Amino acid sequence: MRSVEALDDMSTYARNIGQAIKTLSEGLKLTFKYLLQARKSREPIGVEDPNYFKKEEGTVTLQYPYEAIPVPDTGRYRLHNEIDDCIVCDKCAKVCPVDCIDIEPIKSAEEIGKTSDGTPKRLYAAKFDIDMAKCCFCGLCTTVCPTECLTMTKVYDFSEYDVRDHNYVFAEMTPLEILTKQKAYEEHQAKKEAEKAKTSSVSKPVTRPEAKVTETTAPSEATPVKPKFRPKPMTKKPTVSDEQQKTGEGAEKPVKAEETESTSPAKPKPKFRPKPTIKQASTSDEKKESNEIPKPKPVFKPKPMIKRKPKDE
Amino acid sequence: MTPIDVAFFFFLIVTGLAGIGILLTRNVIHAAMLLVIVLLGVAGLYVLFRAEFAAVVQVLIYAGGIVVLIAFGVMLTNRPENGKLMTGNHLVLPALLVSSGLFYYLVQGIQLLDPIATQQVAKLPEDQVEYIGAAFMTDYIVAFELIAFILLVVLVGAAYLAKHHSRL
Amino acid sequence: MITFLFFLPFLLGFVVIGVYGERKIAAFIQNRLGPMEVGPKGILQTIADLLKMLQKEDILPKAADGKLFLAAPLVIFAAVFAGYAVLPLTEGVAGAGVAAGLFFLLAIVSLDVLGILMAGWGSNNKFALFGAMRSVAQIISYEVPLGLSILGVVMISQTLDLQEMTINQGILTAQPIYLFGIKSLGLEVGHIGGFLSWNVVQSPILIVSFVIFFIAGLAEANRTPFDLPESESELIGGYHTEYSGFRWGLFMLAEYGMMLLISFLGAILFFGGWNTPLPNIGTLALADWTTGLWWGGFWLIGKAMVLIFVMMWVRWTYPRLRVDQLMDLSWKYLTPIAVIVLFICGVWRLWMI
Repeated sequence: MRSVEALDDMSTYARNIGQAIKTLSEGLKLTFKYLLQARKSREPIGVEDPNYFKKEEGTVTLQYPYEAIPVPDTGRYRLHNEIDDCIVCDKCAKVCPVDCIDIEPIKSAEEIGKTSDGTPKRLYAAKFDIDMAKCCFCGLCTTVCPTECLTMTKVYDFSEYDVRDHNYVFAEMTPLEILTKQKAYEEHQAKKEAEKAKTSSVSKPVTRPEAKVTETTAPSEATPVKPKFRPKPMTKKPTVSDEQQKTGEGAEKPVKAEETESTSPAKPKPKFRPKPTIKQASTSDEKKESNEIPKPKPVFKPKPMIKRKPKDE
Repeated sequence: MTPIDVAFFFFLIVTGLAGIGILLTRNVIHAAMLLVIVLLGVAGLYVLFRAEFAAVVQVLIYAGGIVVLIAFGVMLTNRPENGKLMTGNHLVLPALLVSSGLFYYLVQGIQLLDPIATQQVAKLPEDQVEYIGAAFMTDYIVAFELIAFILLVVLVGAAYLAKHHSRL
Repeated sequence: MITFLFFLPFLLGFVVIGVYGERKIAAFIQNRLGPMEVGPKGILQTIADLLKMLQKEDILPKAADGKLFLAAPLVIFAAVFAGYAVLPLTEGVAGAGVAAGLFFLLAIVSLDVLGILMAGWGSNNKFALFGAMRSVAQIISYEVPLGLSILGVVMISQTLDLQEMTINQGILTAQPIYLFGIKSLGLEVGHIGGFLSWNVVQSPILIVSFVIFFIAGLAEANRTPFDLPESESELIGGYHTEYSGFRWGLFMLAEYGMMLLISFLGAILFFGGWNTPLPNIGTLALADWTTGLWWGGFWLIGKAMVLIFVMMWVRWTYPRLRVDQLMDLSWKYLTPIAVIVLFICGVWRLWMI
């Protein structure tokens, strides 16, 4: 018995040694293969590249700040707002599921400019903040944006030391400007009121509209949102009436356009469908008196409805 | 003083101071480390006396082996709560008597042997290793084999003690 | 003197390059790039690390045993560095002419156990103590196969002096060298030189000896399959857990110094030291041409660097052993095999050469 056991032990002993030599040398071979493969290295190519899945050998590290895999065209990263093209419609803020966009509009008595596609702007953006720390990168805001000024860029590397630095400020107005604009509007409003008081009949609604306007201003652009915007019509009545000259190059613009006095860099590419109808309505309306009551915001998509009302009145 | 003398006194003083340090320190680990210095100093003296091989063995066996075992044993066996191992001096008088007696006889013995020792050192061949090896296997074969046997017994005994008790 | 004039600066330079090389090899084996930022291809990375390390505070833990704690790194480094004293660098340039050079080297290097023990105990930290105890147990265990494997070489070459041992492995030898050490073959290769006169070829059984030596050397240097004493994943660095700054750097220096020492020793004992690997082939006297003062240093350092590379390669291939596996390997496998090889070496020496 004993001798058998001893033999057994000896054979396992020898087998252990043999196995150790075999496995260890295999391990060394494997790592040496990798060492040689390290001469090749991966290139920064995107997923679209047909070779993307063929790079199996060599170092996989990309030295990030110097080389980076290109972002696919569908990539959604940091938001950017082209403030010059923004009509401060507030749709993006409304649709945002995490409330990361904070907008504060200031009404203006008259059209203050045009976006690059020719949409007239009637609101100042006193504040247009996007908190990228909250953003969930769903992209809804970019799809609702009527002027396509809000876009998701390919910039994904924007880490900060302070979380507050993730709040991106797009508004360009100085506090002084904001104050003056506010004041201007207030004065204008007061004037208008006074006028209306004189002219009597239409005056009732005026007070209300103001309050409502602030809420509704931004959304006014949104075509589908109409239900909420109804209150505006009241305010608009005055505004609509303003439209004197309707400088609008495209047929559509005229609707919104009160007066293009403002310095806006007019690049007339009117994209708004509903406008045609609007025009009719608006045009049909009252006198111009443009200077008095320019509250253009509400005008845009919802206009059809709005117009009707004005007409009615 | 020749450089050899300087080295001699250097090793002597180092060894002596470290030896006194062992007596004075109350920290066991410190004592063990001082013992290393003593052993190394003695090894240095061996080298000065042209006993290189003995010096190397001294370093290898005593400094590198025995002291490590001592320190290891102290660390593994006995760790008091305050974290410091302390010793004290007990039985000072008897110890003094015994050690001074031993020292006296040592000095006597060295004085007695001195002429013989110097003669033998002069006779030492250049290749000590070969000489020692040959001496072990010829003149001192009995002692060599006996020591080997005792060490083997010790080894087997240690292995036996270390074995699992369940299999006893 | 040569030790201080050459090996000390060489060791310092080697550590700088060695750390960089190690990181690069590790990276390439793992499909990475390694350091790339500091200097071209990251070459200056180690220097930057070194500067950072030197500026760090030298921390002395409150509960530590100050004397032991502070002295430990010096003891470790001194012990390892003392080993370089007997290395022959090249033809006619050797360290201390100690007749028992190899023996001295083994003895003095074994002292670094004491330093590790001091560091572990002095830190007054359980991880450090664990690391130190593992390290000591490991180093003492692996000294046995290491010593036995070297003994085989000593038997074959009949000397403990490393310079003499080297000379006997090349064309400068006075003794006849037979192919594979078998006299009856009648092939005298002493004048051919090259790799044919190396110890591993003079006596092929020494290949086994070399494998044992190399494994035990890895364990002595606490290198990765045997880095249990450090094992940052379990012991947070083991015995140097509590160290910082320059003292920690000394540990690092000692580890790389030990690696380099083992590599030098392996090259000298088994692969001909500073002898050229190129043999004389008829009129093409490659061995004669590539032997000389500068060639010697070149070959020795080159061979050592190859061994260092293998050490790094091994480190990034194998996982760490468990403690029981470590002891099994030493006592159940390496030691018996080393004893058998030693016996065969003796027989070879008596009957073949």
